[in-house]
Amino acid sequence: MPQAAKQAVTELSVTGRLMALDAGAYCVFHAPGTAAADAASGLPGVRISVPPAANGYLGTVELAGFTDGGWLAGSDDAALIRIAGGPAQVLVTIYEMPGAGQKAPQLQVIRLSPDAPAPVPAPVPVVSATPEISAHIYGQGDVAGRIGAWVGDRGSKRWIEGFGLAPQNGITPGDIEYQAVLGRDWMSPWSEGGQFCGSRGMSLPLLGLRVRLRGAAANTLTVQVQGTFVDGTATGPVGDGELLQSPSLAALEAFRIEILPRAAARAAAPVKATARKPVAKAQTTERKLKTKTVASAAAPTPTKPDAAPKKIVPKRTPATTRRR
Amino acid sequence: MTVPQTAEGAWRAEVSASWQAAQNAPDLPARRQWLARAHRLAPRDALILAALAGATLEAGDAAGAALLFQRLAALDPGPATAGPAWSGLAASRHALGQASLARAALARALQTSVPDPALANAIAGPGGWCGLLVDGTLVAAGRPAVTLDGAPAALRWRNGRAILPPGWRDATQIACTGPAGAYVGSPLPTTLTRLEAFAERTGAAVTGWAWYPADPAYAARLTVEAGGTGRTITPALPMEGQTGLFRPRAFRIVDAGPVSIRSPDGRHVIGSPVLTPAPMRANRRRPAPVASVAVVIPAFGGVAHLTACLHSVLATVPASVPVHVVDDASPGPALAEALAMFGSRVTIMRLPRNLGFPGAANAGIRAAAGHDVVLLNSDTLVPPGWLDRLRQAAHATSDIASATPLSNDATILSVPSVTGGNPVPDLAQTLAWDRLVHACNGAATADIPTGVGFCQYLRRDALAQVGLLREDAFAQGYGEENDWCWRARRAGWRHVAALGVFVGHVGGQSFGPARDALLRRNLAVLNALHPGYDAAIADWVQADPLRPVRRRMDERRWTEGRRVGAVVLITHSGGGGVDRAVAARCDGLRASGHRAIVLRPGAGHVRIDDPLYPNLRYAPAERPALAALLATDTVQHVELHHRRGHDPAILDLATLLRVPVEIVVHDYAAFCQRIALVGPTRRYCGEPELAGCAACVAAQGTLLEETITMPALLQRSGRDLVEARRVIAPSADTARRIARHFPGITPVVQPWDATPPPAANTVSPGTRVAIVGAIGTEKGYDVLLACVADAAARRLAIEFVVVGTTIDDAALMAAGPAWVTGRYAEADGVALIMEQGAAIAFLPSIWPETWCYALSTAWAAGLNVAAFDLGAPAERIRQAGQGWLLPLGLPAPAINDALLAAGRVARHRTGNRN
Repeated sequence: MPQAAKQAVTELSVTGRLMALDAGAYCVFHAPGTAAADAASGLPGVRISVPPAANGYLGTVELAGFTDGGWLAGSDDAALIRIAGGPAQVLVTIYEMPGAGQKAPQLQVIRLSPDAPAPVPAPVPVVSATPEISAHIYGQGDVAGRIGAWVGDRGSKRWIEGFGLAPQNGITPGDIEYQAVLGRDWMSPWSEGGQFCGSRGMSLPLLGLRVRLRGAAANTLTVQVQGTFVDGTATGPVGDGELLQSPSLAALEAFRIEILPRAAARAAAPVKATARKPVAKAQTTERKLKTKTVASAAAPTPTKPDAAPKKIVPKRTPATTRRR
Repeated sequence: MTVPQTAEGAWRAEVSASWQAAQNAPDLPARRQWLARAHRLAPRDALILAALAGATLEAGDAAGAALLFQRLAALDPGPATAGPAWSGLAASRHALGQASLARAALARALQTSVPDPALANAIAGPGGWCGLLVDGTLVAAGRPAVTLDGAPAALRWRNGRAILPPGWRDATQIACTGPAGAYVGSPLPTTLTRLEAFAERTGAAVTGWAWYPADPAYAARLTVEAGGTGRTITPALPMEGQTGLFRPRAFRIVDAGPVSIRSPDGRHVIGSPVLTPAPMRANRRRPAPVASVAVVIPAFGGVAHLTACLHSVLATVPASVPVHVVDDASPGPALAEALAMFGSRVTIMRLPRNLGFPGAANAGIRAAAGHDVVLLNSDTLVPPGWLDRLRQAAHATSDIASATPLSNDATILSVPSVTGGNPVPDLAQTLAWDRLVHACNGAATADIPTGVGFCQYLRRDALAQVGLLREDAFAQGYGEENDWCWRARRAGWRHVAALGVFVGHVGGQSFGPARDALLRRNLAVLNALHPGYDAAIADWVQADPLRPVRRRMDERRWTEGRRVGAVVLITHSGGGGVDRAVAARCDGLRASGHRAIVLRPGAGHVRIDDPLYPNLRYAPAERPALAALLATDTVQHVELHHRRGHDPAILDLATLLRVPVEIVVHDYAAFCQRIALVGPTRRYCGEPELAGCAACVAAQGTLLEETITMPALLQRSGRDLVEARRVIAPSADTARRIARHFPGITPVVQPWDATPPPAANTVSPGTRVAIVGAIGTEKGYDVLLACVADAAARRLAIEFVVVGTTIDDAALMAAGPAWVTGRYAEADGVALIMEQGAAIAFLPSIWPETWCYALSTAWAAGLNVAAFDLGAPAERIRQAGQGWLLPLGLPAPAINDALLAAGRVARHRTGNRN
């Protein structure tokens, strides 16, 4: 009886992560080279599920499981996630036999459907709660921000993967355009106000950005941008149409956009490229990232974008599960 | 978009490498794949095609082999190609169980060579078959009754073979019949046993080659006469520069003196005799001109053409003009019988032995003593009044030795295209052309560096001073009239083109390798006799003094074809997607009853691109003349598709025509001198400010074929766009991009095609990824190369197939699991993609394409497409709601993972549904 009772409960190591995703279809699958699970226990195992609560996200989650219960079977399996009506979170849970010595399952997420990302709504004359800035931050998902305020966490070393601008107060979508720095002398296409620039969920950091005003707005207003980077560099503010990037081409961590009357902007002389703290080794970040990898080990503190593997969810929390 | 052009040398190396790889292939599938690639690289190489067709049949794909053998048969009617082609087709159809079609193919095969008897027996069945070996051995199943040109021949059969009786070569055909009627293959033409051979002087030796095209393995025997002795040789040396199925054996005879080389039937081989021509000098005295003229037509075979020619001559020359036909010992009785029909009106001289064209022509010139002579080829057609007009031209001044009319095929005097390829006119068309040239040019003449032998008026006084054609230098002919013209020039004579006369000329047919070799041989002889001959002709061709004459004639024909409702399309000469869109636009205009007039740039001119009117070229200063010509149609508007290569003021044409301009956007040449927004780092440039563009142009140069500053380009494009009645772009993305650079411009969006995406967002089974098109830097070669290398490094279960070409196929295939099919015809694209068995397609293009036909082609082939989130492809994929969009800049490993994931999902979906 005692013997049987002992066998009835197996302590597992469980890692749970909430992954924020935009509307669209995604595939989560074992990364190539993932070790096979133990044939008897099926562990380590991965399960994709809908979190207990929406956590403030508006989207709905539909899981197309290939096996019942949302398990990813074996070492070469995949699951489909479809998110509609706005961003939403999914729960990724990894179950491991403690001390099994096996490499934790490596997962990759790829966006499948080309559904247009939920656009930042165009500004309307009335007071609106619509964010003026939306940004997609590694490990965090979409965040909202405002002109004049910082977007992204300075010092967090979580990089920005994409952003969209929709300033209010009389600036039409056609009055503002912006592009992202993808690499050395390598820029994304220009986006207009309301359009998303960059990517989501591909672990592909932006290395900087550039914003400019056009048309009527450009006659009276100007833009200033400043930012911080994962290597500790702080840069800017830079002016209208000027590049915001770090000398080492580190990933962009946070940025602040100000729209100022032209006269005021002249008064405030822009300061460029100041290092918040000295950077010991300026390393050029060539974009050698893999797709988003969900790993079950190590702490999520990417110092530069090409340091693999990438983690997108909070630190692993050991848990005990009683099997009944 | 510029399409990458593989240099000739690199191309040859690739063909050769693919051929070698096929020879060394470890198994049949690999051999087929390499041969298929070699064939796409060199689609007209018969050797490669024959090998590919054979491998396809060997692999059991009889239907595929049948198509390839048919293609081979169409390549070259010569027995060396047609023999294997028809035999292979017969075998393929036999394998397919198509009995009657197989028999038909076997019959064609037997007209050229003798195939494998076992195969022939199986196909022909009890009806029997017959074939002829080059040594005069008749091969047949059973013992047929045999006739030679209808005369029964008693043969001794042994093991299905019989030796034909002596003199069989004089017969035209051999018939075999059995109880069930004619054997398959009967009647057999004796010409299939023809020996093809050539000889020329190479320094102190005579070199050449010989073979039996119907049986390349059969050793040819030649008789050599040199230094008063005769002997027999068998050419056995390998040929240099052998291509395709042309597989003769070479010989080399060291002898600096005169050498004759004859085939077994006693005739000189092409290029023989090889003599050492001595200099010929004109007489000092120039006799008085004569008033009468005779027509001399040398003939060797070609009965049908000669008969038509004679009919046209007799219908157009007065009875007082003597007409001489010199029969240069034509084989068989056919020519003599045909000539008999013309009675005494034609003087016929039959030469006892074949002399070649110079000798036959001289015989005729001698026979027409006291007259001027028109040397007329037997494959010409003449219009009424031709002789009078030609005579007037030749006698326009006292120092003219010869006059040559214009013709469809007359080298430097060809019209409408001077570079050849003009259709051969029938008699009615000859008359129409003659009316045109006469109406345009009247009695005008033009000095020419040499007359052209197809129809040349030779004045007797010049002949008397200069002498006859040389018979000792040019063997069977080519170049003897040029030699005569240059001898006359040295004696102070001129040669003219009679611009108001047109004579039709069949000419131009391929004479096979021996005739081509003769032409080359004789040009060398000509230049040795007259140093500077080639250069003088080249200078004249370069200066092209007859260009205005030809243009005048084209203009007259053009206005005769005028109609209402024309649209003038201005575009570049660079091909690619622009051309495809322009062609589609022209089709649309024609379908709606318009005349689509395409203007393309040339060196210092703009030309109307219409093969029927090759001479409508206008320098910038002649723009009013072009406008006047275009105005003969009611032009509705001018469409500017591309300015590249055009005079900057080309749009003045619309002003002169007083019509509006519409601008069609195909790329970014309006604001990017690199056209595709790809910067010096070989990446999408991000569309920088002016200074960035200026730096880019400074680093890479311009692709606009003009020198223009960025501000000037933007100013000009801005003006074009503002003044245009309409600006059309194929995608909203393109329209937005134009609007961003030229505020206030709102292009109308008109998709180039309506190809729907595949039925669902699925992928086919397998791990192959298709890449469609000509993949250069802008189309994502670097991305593709990185993906292939990553796939190799990580041993991924993925392979890439480029359906088309790349800028470096070899490097791509060496980098990892990649295959490049080679170029394909547009119409074959969909089928070729489907053949690859790809799961999905990937568009690695790194520039914001404006439309992307490759996407349409991939969709039409049933493949969903992954592409970067950029330009029109992204817009189209997004609209379709299926496919995969990757962020620009995604590293190769992530791209490969994405492509693998796409396949994974589809497999799971399929698994769920089933």
